[in-house]
Amino acid sequence: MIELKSVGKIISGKTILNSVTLSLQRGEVAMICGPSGSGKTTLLRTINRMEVIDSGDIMIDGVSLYDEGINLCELRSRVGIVFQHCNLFSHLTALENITLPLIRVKKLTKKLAINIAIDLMDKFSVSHRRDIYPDSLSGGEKQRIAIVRCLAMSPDVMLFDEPTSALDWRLRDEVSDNIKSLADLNIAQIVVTHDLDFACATGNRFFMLNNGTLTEVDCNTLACQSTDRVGRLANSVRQSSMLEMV
Amino acid sequence: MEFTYEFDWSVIARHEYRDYLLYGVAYTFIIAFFSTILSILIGIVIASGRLSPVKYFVWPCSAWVGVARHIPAVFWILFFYFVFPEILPDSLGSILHSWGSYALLAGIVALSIDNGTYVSDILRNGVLAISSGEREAAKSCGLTSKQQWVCCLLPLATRIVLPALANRTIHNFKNSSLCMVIGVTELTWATQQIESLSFRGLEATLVATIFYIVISLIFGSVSHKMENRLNSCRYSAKDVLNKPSLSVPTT
Repeated sequence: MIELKSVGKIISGKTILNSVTLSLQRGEVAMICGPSGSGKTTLLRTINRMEVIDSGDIMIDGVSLYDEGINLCELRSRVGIVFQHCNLFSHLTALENITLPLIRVKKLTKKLAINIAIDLMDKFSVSHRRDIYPDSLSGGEKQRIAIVRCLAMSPDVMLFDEPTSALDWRLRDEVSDNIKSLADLNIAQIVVTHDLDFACATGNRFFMLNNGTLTEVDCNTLACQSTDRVGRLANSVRQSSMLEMV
Repeated sequence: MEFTYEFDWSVIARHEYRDYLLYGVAYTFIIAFFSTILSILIGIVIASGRLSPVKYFVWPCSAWVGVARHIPAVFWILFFYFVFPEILPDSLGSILHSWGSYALLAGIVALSIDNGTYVSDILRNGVLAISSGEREAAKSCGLTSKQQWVCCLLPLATRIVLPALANRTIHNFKNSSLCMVIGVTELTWATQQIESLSFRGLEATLVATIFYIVISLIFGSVSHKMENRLNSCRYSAKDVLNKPSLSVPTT
């Protein structure tokens, strides 16, 4: 489905991605974790060619993104991306945000587009907010509208850039459930996240990106790191409270 | 100190003076209307030049704005009326000189250039102020670059530039009074004419002042309404929801 073959990316002399290789089938959910600045977002953006790579190749369904005859608009309509800050169009209502690409890119009639949008908004329980502008939506609602905007295009691949960074724990679980349900629809998904617990609960393949190098790990390794951190945090809290007592 | 001036409003009602004022109003409208339209066109051209990826368009346009912004509007008016016909070939220059309406044309072109420079800056800043997130969203959902502009970038930019553009238009409308320096018979020129003929300048000036204020206020409220309208919902789903829902495969 998606194949990254030793992808390299250099931005102003700095190696951001160093020979990244990854292959993913439909229905698989890849969680990519790694420290800030390790190139996670850049990696995600190369997959719908928002970012052009310097070496290697990326194939979707056996077709390279760098083929000469490739139609970028058609490609991007099949590879949905949910941005960290949702990036809803502020001049359109929630509903219009979802119907715009359906009408303009997929050339559906307005009525059909609205129907698809409302069906999906119902599934994500945001249809009561359809005529609201993004400014007045809560973080969780924006997130769900952004997911619906992508999903309405019935993509083959969905990319998530830190989908939980703006959400509380309850919404985080909801997003986790949503991503899992999308896997059942045979969509290949790549999720970039800082949140190791979320990664373990959601994905079925796990990767660490460190200084531009991607390595596949198993869930336990991630979970270990996660508990490590909790342990360290607990220790530091304990120490500081002991200092106070002294 | 006492205010001893005695108003004599009958002066304005006298037909020769009234005609001065009415013609003045008409000319003011003509100057303001055409120079605003022309300046927006100039603004669009310069702004596109500065935003274009081709650097041979960028630097002349940027240089133009850098220089023209610091030149007073009256200079442009004097330049186009007195200097411009001189630098043209003789025959063309003398045709312009002898043409009765050349003052009006020079005034309109001068104000268009003055205002257009500011408009170009407003438009350019409006486009630059669109959040990079929305640009990326437009690109990433598969819109062609024309669709990105028509459906997302221009509507977003319009919302950003409208208040500043309305301000600039009111400013340009008031700047039409500067055309009196080359003898265009617009409203301010008319008040001066009435003053010098009847020594009743205060009445005429007050009438003109009220005219400028009223027109500016009307334009201000119209543009405010436009802003509100742009920010309201265009179509809601109610009409679609009331009909029985089609079953649509979503995958």
